[in-house]
Amino acid sequence: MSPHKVTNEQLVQFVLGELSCERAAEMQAHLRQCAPCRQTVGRLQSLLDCAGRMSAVPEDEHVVQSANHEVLLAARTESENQSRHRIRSPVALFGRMIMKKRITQLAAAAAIVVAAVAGLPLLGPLVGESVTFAEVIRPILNARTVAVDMILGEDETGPSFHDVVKGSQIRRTVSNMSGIAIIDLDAGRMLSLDPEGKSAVYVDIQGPIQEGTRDYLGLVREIVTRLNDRPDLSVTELGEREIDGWEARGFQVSEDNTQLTIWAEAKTALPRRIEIRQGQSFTILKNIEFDVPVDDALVSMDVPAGYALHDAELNMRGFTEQDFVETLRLWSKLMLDGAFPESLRLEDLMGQMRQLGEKVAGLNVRGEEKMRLGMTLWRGYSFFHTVAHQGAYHYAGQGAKLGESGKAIFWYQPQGSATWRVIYADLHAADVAPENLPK
Amino acid sequence: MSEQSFENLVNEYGGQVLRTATRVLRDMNLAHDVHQEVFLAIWRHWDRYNGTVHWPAYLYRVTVRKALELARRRAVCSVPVRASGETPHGVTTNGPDSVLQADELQHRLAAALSRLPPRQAEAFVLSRLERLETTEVARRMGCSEPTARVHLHRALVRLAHELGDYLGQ
Repeated sequence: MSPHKVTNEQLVQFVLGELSCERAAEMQAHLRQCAPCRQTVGRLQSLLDCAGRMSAVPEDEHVVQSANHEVLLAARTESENQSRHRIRSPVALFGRMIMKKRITQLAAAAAIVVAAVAGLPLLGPLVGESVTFAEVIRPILNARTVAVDMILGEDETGPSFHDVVKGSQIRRTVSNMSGIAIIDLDAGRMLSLDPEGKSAVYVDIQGPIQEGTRDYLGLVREIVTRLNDRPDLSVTELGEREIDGWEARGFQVSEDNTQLTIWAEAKTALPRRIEIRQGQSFTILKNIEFDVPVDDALVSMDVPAGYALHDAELNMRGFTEQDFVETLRLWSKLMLDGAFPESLRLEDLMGQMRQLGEKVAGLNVRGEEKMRLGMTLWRGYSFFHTVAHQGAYHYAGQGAKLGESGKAIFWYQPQGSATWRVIYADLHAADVAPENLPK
Repeated sequence: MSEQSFENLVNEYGGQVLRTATRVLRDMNLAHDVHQEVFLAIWRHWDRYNGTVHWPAYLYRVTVRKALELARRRAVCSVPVRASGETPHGVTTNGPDSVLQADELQHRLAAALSRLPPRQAEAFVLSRLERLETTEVARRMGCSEPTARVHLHRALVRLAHELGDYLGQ
């Protein structure tokens, strides 16, 4: 084989072991005599060695899980942004309010309500314990990070939230909104991001909202850690059932108007679905993942690159019974033609938020007034949730008409008060002794 | 197809995509970008995919192409700058220097790879980085085995020529 007859293609074939034995022997003989070809073969061999080293990529399951999680989160966010029935994000709303532009200010305010009520307290203390139950709650107690979907309503068609939780920080997306909320529970601040408009705003959530805007699994955690304090309550085993595709074992604890049900995978004892019933509200936690890798950037309170920060901060503190009364008035007037809702449930209000927003936006009032109405709506519902969390209440608005005098529609006992507050269908409120409450 | 089936796809092949991108790019952050680009592109047209897609092969191809595109855009930045007057060496000795040289060679190779014609680069990645048999390389490239071999051979010749002294000998 003379140098003239040896092609680069043949040298490659030689290095790759693709030549026959006879041709390979000829090539070796040639290489002993030909320095340029020897150099080329040496370089090709170095190239293959280098490629071999590059092919060795360490397997790091955590890194893979983290990347998968991020892409699923991004896909979900994109879907939400593209939802045909989306309402504007809080940030978009805030932006409009701040800029005093017309259009959907109210929808924005409504979105604030959605975001805010998502965090309100759902449960009072619960109790009970058993060895198996202890296994089930262990990951709930010990997880350093959690990813979870929260769905309002028993039929799972209600609005849903997706939370990624790391320490005191939460990244929250809402199914029918295009925004992302980064919540710092310790600092009492929320960074609201609008991926469409690339705008950001900080929201002050200190006070009751800070207490109420929470990591839902953290709430479950608080409850189960208090189990030992109430030996009068016990865990009911619900047996095995297929839940969301898992062979699961159920446990249930009830206290007063609150019921907590945990379905754990039979094989691993990992909680797969948690149901929380409080009064008329029903919440489902599912797709629960413990100790998922969470990039700090996902829960960072810094404004992401490319986002414009609105210079105003919104304060969501302070709500009163009067806000709640105004909320009932708006809901009745704008949505139900003067009737009152059949029930007061978070999912009912949230399900109608978009329409309510459009109704407010369509009112023939100034922009500032629309904004005020939207915020009132939010404060009113926050008030209701606080009442529901703190003490006893009763709703009896079914069949009542707005303005009807003497017809009590809602009564509750303020914390520390001997008397009750009763709200009537004409929306006046009065103190009433327990013995004089409506039957 | 449902969101759940997309999630299953990500969970099943996310590791493959990330590893392939890492092999090509030698940079975990860039590999993450590719991982996200690949799956989000699929998600945006999720309703158009049907049950006939052979996901491992499809994902290999898309990942390699995306990674090479990214490498092309960033090739200049990813190559360490050699001090002027320094002579390149082959990776033939042991010790700290050789480790550095090996690392540099890998970056140089990744950059050179991005300058190859796409089909040659794809053949090189599938054969030498993903370590697939020629039959499988051809299947994933959608061509015959002889054609896949030709692409690979040309890639090797061109890379060996381009990297020249960095490969020693």
